Amino acid sequence: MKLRSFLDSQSGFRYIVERLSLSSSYSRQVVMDTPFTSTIKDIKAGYEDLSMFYRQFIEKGKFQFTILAIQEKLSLVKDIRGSISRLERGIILDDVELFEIKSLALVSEDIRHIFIETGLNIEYLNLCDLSSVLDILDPEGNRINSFYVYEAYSEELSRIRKELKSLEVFNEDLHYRASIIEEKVRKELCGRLNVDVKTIRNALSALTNLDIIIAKALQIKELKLTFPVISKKELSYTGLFNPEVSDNISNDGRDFQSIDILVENYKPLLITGANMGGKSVTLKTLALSQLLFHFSFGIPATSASISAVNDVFLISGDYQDISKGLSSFASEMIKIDEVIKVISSGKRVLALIDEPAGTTNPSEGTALVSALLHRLTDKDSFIVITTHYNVDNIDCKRLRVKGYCEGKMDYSLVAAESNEAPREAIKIARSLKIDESWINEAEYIVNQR
Amino acid sequence: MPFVQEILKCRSLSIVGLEKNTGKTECFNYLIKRLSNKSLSIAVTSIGLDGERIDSVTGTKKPEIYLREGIFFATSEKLYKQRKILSEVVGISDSTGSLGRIITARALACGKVMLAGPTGTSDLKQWMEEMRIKYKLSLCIVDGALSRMSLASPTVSEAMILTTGASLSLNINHLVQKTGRLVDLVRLPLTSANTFATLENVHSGIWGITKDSELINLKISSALEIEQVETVILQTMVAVFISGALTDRFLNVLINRINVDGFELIVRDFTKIFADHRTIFNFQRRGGKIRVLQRSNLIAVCVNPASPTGAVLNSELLCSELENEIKVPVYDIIKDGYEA
Repeated sequence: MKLRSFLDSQSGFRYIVERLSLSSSYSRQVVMDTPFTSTIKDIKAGYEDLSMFYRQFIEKGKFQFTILAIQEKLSLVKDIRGSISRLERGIILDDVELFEIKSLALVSEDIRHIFIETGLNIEYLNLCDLSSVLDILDPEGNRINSFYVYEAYSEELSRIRKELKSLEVFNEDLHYRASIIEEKVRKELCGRLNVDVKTIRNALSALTNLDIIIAKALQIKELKLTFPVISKKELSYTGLFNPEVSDNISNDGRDFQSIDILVENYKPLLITGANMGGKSVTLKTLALSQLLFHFSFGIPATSASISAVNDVFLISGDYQDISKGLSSFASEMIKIDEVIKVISSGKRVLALIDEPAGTTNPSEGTALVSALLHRLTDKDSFIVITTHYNVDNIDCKRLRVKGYCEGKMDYSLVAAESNEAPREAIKIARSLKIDESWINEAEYIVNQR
Repeated sequence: MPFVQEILKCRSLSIVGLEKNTGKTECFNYLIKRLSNKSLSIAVTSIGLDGERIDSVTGTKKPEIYLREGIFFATSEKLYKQRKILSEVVGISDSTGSLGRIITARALACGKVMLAGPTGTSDLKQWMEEMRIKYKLSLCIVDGALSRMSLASPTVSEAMILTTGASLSLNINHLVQKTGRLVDLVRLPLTSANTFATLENVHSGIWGITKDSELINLKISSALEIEQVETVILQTMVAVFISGALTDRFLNVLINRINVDGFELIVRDFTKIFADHRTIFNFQRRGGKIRVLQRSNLIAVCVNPASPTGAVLNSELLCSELENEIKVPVYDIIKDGYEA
């Protein structure tokens, strides 16, 4: 699975990816094609380079202009993999393709020099030395971004060109003779470049990698993200927030209330709480953070300790699919079944299930949730389920949204004292300023019981 | 030749032919020859969709442009390989059009090349801006096409040269008339400074202007929906501004519903007028006025008296008749040579 396929997940992953300020459109393509990895070694390596770069160049904001200069150079990086493989296959490149390779070499050398001036150690970025390539393609040493078969390559060519330039009219014969020599020169150039083809390819991937690291590091500063600690048995966040929701409500002048949460393997977590208590947002943010972790992005929390999983499931919302003849309930059950199957196959997953069986009658719904929790206990996976049902007699960790106090919603999660789900629906419905007699009657019915 | 002086005042120029074989390429070559003597830095491009460029229909040779040292040009990757000129690549476009990537290069000696540059209005604008800013060039010349008149719009190029000739019609009167109609559109007068200020920042929709210079949104998205606007509302207007295309139907509704005497119809520029000349004439004869927000600077009209079928018109008669009709300098570049 590539990063591209997670963009439309409900977690809001797209929001973060689209806010990367990448300089080259080719880097964006590389980001989209990044494979999902569960290997701790890869994730760790990704974060090591990123945090190193962040500490060296971004954190203190001292290198703002250096970064801007580098980004300007990076914007010239194009996808020239085609020309590189043609070179490798021994095909004689034309002027346009040689120009592409020269442009890359110029950008690469310029960036290397900018970094050398900072005096910092950037070996981990693996930037390549393309000065030999540049020497081949820029025999006159002008260091200008342009290319043609220069006179310096051949004395005979130089003589013919001189004659060509002295003429006021176009001379077909001279042009033809020149073109034969030019082709010979190009053949020779490609032969010499062929030795460096690996370095050229590495230089291209080092530059796109640098572009991505810069974009991620800038995003960490901009969105106040953090670097996670890599764990093996828990997902633990303090000050977890959702950047998208946070941005949206800050436009209305409100602040996002961050939360602390700990999810352990072998122990499903059940979250209860009033409607509008932020349960769904919490699940979405957990899914988002997990994806960001696997693609080594900054994490939206003040601190985070995250374990790798093989897959992330977020089951939230209405999946009703009339075209397949499935009701909301049926589609939801099928999706949950998929999770159970994957977990039973021995894979470690993060499964976030929002109000399972919430669309059916409460007594059977409660039974389904209790049994689901039981089925998923003692599995090496991370399970978080939210519900409004009173789930008794099941051994699991329970948290509850603190809920309404002093006329304000407190979104923080606290340990649930009882197994009873909070009953605040009527209070919250009343706060929405809807038909009063309806709410009054509902309250009367509840009190009667 | 006099009009070269006029061109030196502009930053961009498009050459538009009324028909194939009206001598557009000769005109282009002539300009390049004349302008290079002025030690002027120029860039040339062609919108590339011109019928004659990919001429599989008539099988005639694709015209090549003769360039001199120092001229920047844009062409497709494929045509760049076929060039007969010593030149250096200086840039490759990001976008790939129907003709592949666009290569920008600089001529290092004189030679011939076929041009096929950016084809879209925004790509072309961007290319011209790059030429002006990155390479500090003072003039861009665009080889345009009548079928893509939008590229001759004053928002893209400041000045234009029209080419016309025997391939349009072998009847001098008819030729003069047809050319005159287009020239009339190009030279439509500008609207008043006041109205211009009112409309400057209007980018879409159709708007009415009342006696008190009040701007009223007619709430229709295109001129095709004009029939939905009530006559009573139209009667309170003294002018209407159309941000999009002006069509026959729109004009007819105005003519039929209201007294158009003194009524002002404002379009962005002449390339937005798609109405038939008869309808426009009808509107104007009843006292209606058509005004533009931006006007092209028509520098000259060039004629080619020879038709591809072999017939040749009297060049002097053609030039004088045409000049008489359109009051714009008319030249026969091929005959006169204008070496001076």
